[in-house]
Amino acid sequence: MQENGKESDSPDSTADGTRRGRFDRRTFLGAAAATGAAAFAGCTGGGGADDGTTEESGSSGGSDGTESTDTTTASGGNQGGTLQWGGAVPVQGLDPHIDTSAASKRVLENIYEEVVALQDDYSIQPHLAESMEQSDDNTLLTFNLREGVTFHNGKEMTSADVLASYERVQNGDYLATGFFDYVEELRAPDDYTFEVQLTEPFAPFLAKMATAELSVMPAENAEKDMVEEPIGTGPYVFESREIETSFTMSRNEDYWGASDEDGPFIDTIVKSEVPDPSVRLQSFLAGEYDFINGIAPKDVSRVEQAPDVRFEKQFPKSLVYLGLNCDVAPFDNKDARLALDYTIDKEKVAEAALYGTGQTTATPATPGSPWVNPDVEPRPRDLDKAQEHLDAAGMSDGFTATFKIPQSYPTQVQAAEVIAADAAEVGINLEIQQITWSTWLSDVYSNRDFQATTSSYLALWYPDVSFYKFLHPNGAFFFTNWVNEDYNALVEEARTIYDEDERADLYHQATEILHEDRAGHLFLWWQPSLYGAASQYKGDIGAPDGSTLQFADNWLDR
Amino acid sequence: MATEQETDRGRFTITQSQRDRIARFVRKFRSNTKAMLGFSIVVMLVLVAVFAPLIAPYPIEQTNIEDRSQAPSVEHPFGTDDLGRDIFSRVVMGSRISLYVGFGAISGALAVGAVVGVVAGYAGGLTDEILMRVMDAAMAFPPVLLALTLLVVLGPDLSNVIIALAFVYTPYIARVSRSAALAERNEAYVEAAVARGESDSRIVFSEVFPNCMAPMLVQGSLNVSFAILAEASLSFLGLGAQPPRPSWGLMINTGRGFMETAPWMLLFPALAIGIAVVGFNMLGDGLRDVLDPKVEAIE
Repeated sequence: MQENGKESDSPDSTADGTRRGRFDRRTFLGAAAATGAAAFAGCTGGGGADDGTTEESGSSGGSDGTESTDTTTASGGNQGGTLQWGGAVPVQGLDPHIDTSAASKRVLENIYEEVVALQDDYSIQPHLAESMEQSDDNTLLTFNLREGVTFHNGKEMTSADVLASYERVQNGDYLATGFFDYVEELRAPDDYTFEVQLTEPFAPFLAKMATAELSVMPAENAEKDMVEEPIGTGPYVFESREIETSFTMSRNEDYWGASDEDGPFIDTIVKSEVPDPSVRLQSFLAGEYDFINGIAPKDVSRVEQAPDVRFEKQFPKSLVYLGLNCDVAPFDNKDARLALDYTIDKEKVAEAALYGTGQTTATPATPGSPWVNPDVEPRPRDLDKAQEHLDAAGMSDGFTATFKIPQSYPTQVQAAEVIAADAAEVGINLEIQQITWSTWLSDVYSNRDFQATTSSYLALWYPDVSFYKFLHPNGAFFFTNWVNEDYNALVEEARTIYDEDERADLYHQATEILHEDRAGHLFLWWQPSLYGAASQYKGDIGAPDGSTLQFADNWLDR
Repeated sequence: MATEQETDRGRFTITQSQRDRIARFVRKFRSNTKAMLGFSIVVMLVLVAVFAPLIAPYPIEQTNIEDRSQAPSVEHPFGTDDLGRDIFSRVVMGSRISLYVGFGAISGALAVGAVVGVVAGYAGGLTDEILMRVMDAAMAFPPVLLALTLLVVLGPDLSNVIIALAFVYTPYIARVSRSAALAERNEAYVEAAVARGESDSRIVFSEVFPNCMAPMLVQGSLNVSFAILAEASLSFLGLGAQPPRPSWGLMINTGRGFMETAPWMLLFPALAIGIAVVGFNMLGDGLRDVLDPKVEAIE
């Protein structure tokens, strides 16, 4: 089901320093690093880890907030074995700088690495770098790269490779290219030093560096327009794939970060593409797979009750919204949007689709993060107010609009049916049209040929993604044509601010505007990633960003 | 079989021989178990569809999450679906969609296919070749696949389903009509009409056409069942009726995800499709038996 393309965006960035203090397995060094991190602290966003809603993300090494009780840390796993993974969405493109699909990111996350990496507490730590520093004015980032890191082709990684990877994105037309507007110069003064000179303080850059959109690849691959065979530095090596059928990767024997505690342990990971959720679950319960992702919310109780099965959930994974095209009738009219808003019982919609696994929201900010404005809540269902707004819009008898729903997301189809039935009570007639995901991408997203739709975004752990990427006209995913100058000014300013409180205040104001002006994104709910694993599959499942998977510290106990 | 005389003066009044034929038809039809069974099922379906709003005890679109996925009970004889809607009501209302599409598509196919077939069969020669090769080309595609392709172009919508299925089933009707017309072409009454100097179009539509009706009717009623099945398949694939319309195919699609936990979501719409398809098939088969001149000869 979910996450084919759009929503798969991995986030721009990081969390902030509120919870630094946890220097975990990938320790970074000394005082210099600490001050560096302190300087980054402001810039890095998140910090929501303390809050209960994000489920102990800061806890023991590598726990992603999974609820498992039988696994604690990934120390001392058994090496070897083949993991049979029943995957939800087929792997798409294999170029991390190009591909937006979460399915691809889920495997590439294990093959490629970045200069810095997101941690479970949403902080950003050096990864392929040993340490990093940031100048006092927040415009010069210096990274001291690790020595002895080798690519899967045997060559050692140097600053030339990092530079080539970044210049590829800077000079081409890739997902993160827009972020280089704020980059004055990229430098590699020696083999193990990499510098980024920004034109002005730009908080999201470091966060973007932690995403696959700025993965490090060998210089010779960085010269290609499109990488077909991924070569990275990560714990797993790409072996083979059969499109829409399977994807295989094997353990990197020479992994620089290999350890008895953190793996990698499993020899081979075979992902079988099983897009149908019922078939996937059936096969898993029959013992065909050790692990499946993308369990449908309606099946959660079955998985929980099944013997010898681990059920894992990681919250939040994605934000599902109702998209309204603010450029065409009827939703170019603010009162029409408000009228629809008032007809929707958000709790009921979320319950219908998610069976109690999700939570409603009026803000795109990650639940539990400081960016959430506590004073803004979803509008309650109120048919009188809906009628008032219909009158104000000059459509007292209601109106008709097509409602394009991607059919590969059964939860969204269920939600759409509930919304349409409720809206019909005041004469708002939403005609559901089920479309394929590729049609959604071409018609709804690219051509903006729609009136109302539903879809979702993934990995919104960094506020710039939540507030800029799809809500600002210059954002990479902007498509609902909702434009508000005051809002734009606020989120633009927030990008240059490193102080958390100051920044949060801007996002709180922005949230109010979103709500009052009934932006083109009407947020429906946050939903978790749902995984099932055989009991012999050990270790914490998931990755800090909430939607991809890291297999390095997982092992098979058999 | 018709004779020139009958067709000539019997257009507006029922002659004794026609009355005899109808009586014979009714007698044979009634003694044919298959035909009668099929007929009763179809009549029942039509009655259900016509009176659906009176039969259905609950509104079919209003969701009720508290009552979701309930097993069949006295209150909900077929249980409730994942959004708490009464499945009995939805299956009953769904009969309208199935019959609407089944009859709609086949009427369309009959209108076009019969004309094409009879003209081709009567004219023969190059006209026949051209028309029938076009029909063969259309028949070369598997029906559901062709309908799928058409729907992708036309857009997913119930009226487009009718258009697509009418197109798909036209060649089947055309073939049957052509062979009937071929047989009729050499009958004496046609020669007589030609001798009288009647125009070709008059001969085709007034003389030949009515005499080809029987096989068309048989083929039509068989194809209604295929069309119902095709509509269910297309809706199942998301290209037919759109939610929340209670198309049986769509209900099966949703129910498939609940096969383990709420099998009734799948069972009842599937049963409904089965009954409808069997009904029209038996009716078609029975009609063929009754109308087949060979059977008549034996009798």
